[in-house]
Amino acid sequence: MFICRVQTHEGVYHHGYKFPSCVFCYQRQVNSLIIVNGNKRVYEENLSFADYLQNEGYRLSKIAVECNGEIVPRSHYAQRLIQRGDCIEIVHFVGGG
Amino acid sequence: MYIKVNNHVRPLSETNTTLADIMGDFCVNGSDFIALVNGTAAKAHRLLKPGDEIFFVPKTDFVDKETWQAMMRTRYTPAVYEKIAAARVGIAGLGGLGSNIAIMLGRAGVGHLHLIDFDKVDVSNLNRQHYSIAQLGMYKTAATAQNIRAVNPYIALREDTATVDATNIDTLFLEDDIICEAFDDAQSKALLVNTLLEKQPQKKIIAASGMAGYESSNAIQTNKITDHFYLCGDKITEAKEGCSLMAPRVMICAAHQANMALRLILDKKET
Repeated sequence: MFICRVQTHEGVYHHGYKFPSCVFCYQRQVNSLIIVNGNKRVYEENLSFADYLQNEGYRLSKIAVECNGEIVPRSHYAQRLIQRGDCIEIVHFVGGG
Repeated sequence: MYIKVNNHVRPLSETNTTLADIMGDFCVNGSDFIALVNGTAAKAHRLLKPGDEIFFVPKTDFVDKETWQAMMRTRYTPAVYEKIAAARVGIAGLGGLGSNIAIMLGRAGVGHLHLIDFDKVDVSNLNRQHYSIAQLGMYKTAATAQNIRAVNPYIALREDTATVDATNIDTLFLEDDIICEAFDDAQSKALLVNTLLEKQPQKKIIAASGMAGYESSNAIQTNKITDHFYLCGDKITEAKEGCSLMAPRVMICAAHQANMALRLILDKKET
């Protein structure tokens, strides 16, 4: 990857190469995403795990949530905010065993 | 030029010695015995090489603990056997998943199994759980222990006939390095996994979700969620009216969990 030159783009000259050839474009793109269960999602500011999980319709009593390789404790759902670039895995358990 | 026969060192004098040549020294009637060379069953005309480890074991009588351990050590290789024999695995729930995981790990020789269930064997369990008609009404802990001892009497079993809930998760699993989550209820699964990962982060958990019905066997997979959390199943097929639990998929999922336990014991990484 290299830096763009022709037009200004966040203070840097842009060469015209599209994502992900330009390192700044690439970073900007990555910073505006989160990954949930392997899928890209648009990052939203000030969104807590509790809000996100509720919006997506998860039953909180039947899931386990992992973020960047670590479990997110249930007691943290309400106050912990999703950060730019977070890689989240939501395991939804179904009955049977 | 030595070989080992039934765990005793013995010189290998001639180059063309076969199993049949030494058999007479160890068994009176050769046809009543099975010969294992380096852990694998061998025919009488098998030529012996220096370093071979041979066991003559009676076909129909069980062997003593020392012979069994030596046999398994030869069969698995010492490094693998020692790790499996030293392993401590907890099995939370002894239904379709747990009763089958327990018998697989017991056969494999996992040294310490911790069996946990509150329930008794009933008639509706027999379509998929590893119990027999003669065991109806027994506690599942006792029945599973009986089943394991019937195939492998030489491993340590700890039985806890108890309901696992928020009050005892913190203390119940202290001795276990790996825990197989084998509950039926989704909320109990989530509670156990969340509590253990949060409060005892050094433990490794192998959970299961989605194994009802008769969808494709190949939909059941092992997924690594974190270094300490593995999930087996198809993730979606819930047990409910019209889609009940059946032996094959439940046992496939149980086998995924049991094999993942073995892989963790043997330091294999899942990607």
